[in-house]
Amino acid sequence: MLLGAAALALAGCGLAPPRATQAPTPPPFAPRWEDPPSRQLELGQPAQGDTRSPDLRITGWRACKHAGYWALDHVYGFEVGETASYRFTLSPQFHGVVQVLEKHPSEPRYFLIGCERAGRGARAEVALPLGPGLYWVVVDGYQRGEAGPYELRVERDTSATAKLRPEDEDQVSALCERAPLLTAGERAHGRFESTPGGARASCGLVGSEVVYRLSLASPRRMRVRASAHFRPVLEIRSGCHAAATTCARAPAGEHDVEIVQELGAGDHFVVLDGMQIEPRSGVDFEPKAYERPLLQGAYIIDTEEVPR
Amino acid sequence: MSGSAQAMRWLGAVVCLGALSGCAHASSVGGRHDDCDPSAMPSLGHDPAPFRYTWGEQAGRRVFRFEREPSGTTEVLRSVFSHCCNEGIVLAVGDRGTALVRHPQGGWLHEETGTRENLYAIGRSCPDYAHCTTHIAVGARGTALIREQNGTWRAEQTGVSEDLFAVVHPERGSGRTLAVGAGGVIVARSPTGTWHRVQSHTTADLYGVGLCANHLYAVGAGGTILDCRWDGKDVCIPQLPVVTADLRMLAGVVSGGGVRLTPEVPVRGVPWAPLWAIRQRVADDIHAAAVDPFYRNPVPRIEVGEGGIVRMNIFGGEVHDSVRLSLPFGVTLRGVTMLMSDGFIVGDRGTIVHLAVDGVPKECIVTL
Repeated sequence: MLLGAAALALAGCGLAPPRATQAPTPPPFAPRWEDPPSRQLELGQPAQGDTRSPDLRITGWRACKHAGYWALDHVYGFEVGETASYRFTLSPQFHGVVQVLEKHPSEPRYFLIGCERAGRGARAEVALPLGPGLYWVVVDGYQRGEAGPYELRVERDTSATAKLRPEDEDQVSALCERAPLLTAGERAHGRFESTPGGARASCGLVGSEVVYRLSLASPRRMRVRASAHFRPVLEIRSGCHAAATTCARAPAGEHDVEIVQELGAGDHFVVLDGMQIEPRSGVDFEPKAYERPLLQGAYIIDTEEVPR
Repeated sequence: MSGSAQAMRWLGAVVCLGALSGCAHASSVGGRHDDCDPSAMPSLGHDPAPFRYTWGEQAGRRVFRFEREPSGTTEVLRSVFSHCCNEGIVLAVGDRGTALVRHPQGGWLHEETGTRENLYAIGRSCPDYAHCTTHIAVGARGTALIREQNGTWRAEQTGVSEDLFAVVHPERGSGRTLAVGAGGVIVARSPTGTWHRVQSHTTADLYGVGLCANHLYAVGAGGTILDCRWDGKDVCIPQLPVVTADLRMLAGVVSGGGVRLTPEVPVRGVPWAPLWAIRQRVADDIHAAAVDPFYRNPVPRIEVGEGGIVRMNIFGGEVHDSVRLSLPFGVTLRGVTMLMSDGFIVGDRGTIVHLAVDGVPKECIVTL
């Protein structure tokens, strides 16, 4: 009755009622967060469906949707095994929305971390860095009753705009040029922020602007130790863009990593990287969350020569 | 209480006190308590000639009375703590295991702590921050004592033997408590009373710990500042020193060597840039500071120190001022706490001073 009244009110305001592809009466709308979705989305495997046969009817997520309207949904589970940037692409034959939801850090529910909409025949893309875990991917209609066939796929985001991406050569060259010196017996302090396209250790993940130069007059055996608010990764290279001489990660759950390495005379570059992305806040579709670095925290690097 | 009534009372507080800025504000907002009673701290009337300081004129006039209260001890008193919970209890601790509790009528009463170790700091520690009636004192040789609401004290094993100089129980600390001390020692207490050592990556003595700009910092000798995180595994990372002086955390303000430091916004692209800056030159004779957690006090911030120094920020009407006094009591003051319109100061030779304020309009002493 309320829906009818709403439609009538809209008509009275001179607005056409929402264009609806006919759909059957949907099942109950309340999602059961504890139950994993019956549909599974696999990396690189397109999923096709038709939301005129809905799984759920969900209210409340207004981002990317016509405010206040319900729509019919297909709900997929997407299991992430490896932290990376992923791109979800929805190609709907109706005015559709794709939403990605992450497990709330402290509550028994999922929250919206990204969404996009597309008109009939267009593509909606959502690109997000994701850590390991189960995500819900919802195919939705932009307006109430909007439904139809679609194709949904997820792939690794390897674009130049991915938050997690390989080093940008120019960017890293600039970091090497201004890299401060590490001196044996002294401590370097700083603040780490993940930087897309920044220096990325071969055994690291997020990339950063933390690059130091270690200049040796003669071959030495050196110990380089990093401690940080996060799980640090250390790499030593013989040149700015050279392959890693050595790379080490802190053990899972630890905040310290150490490298002991024989190094030749000359300049070496020490790169600090991270292994994980920080959990999101749990706030539905918080725009600022997308501007924030994926990982940040203070660090120290201690360098010393060790006897051979 | 309705939301609008509460909002009006908050508004009243702001009108009466004005607004403060910087770390102190961020570190001192302690939450809301319904059992605060500003009349719970009557003068004991034991000081026949309290030191008085008059500030302002006419309607904005305030008279600050510094009344000495008999403590029954000559030991050095190093720390004093009060909070709205537990009917505004005030506790003081000091050398040789001294612990005192203030009874609103009977004055200061000695409590048996079961230790003769010096106690350097007192705070609170309990799983439920908003209804916390358990207190904790830390001191020499890794001493940690828990005071239950009924006034009994018991020792806990911290697992360290270094002196512990400071303790903090942050509102968002998941019920945990952190103590810092000599040789860079940091120990954390879980809500269930188990202790573990937190790696500090320093051997510098740590004299203070507290919140500043929503970060938990430990500070100490040689300009040491540690940025501590409690999400997941506890970890404290040293920051680039910007001074070589010994630092203290004075009610959310890091100071030492005649300067105050404030955290800096990180410089994008320069990860190694200093994260602290010298903001203000100050006298270096302050040992302790306190902030009224609800900002309903004419003295929202007070500092005490060497030779009876008292520095007060005074708010009255729309005017605020900063005054520096020297109490004629001839002792060094080492601890201070503020609660509603009252303050308590402790120091050498068993000194306890009650700071009471006359002339505060009633609407400025509000109860949330």
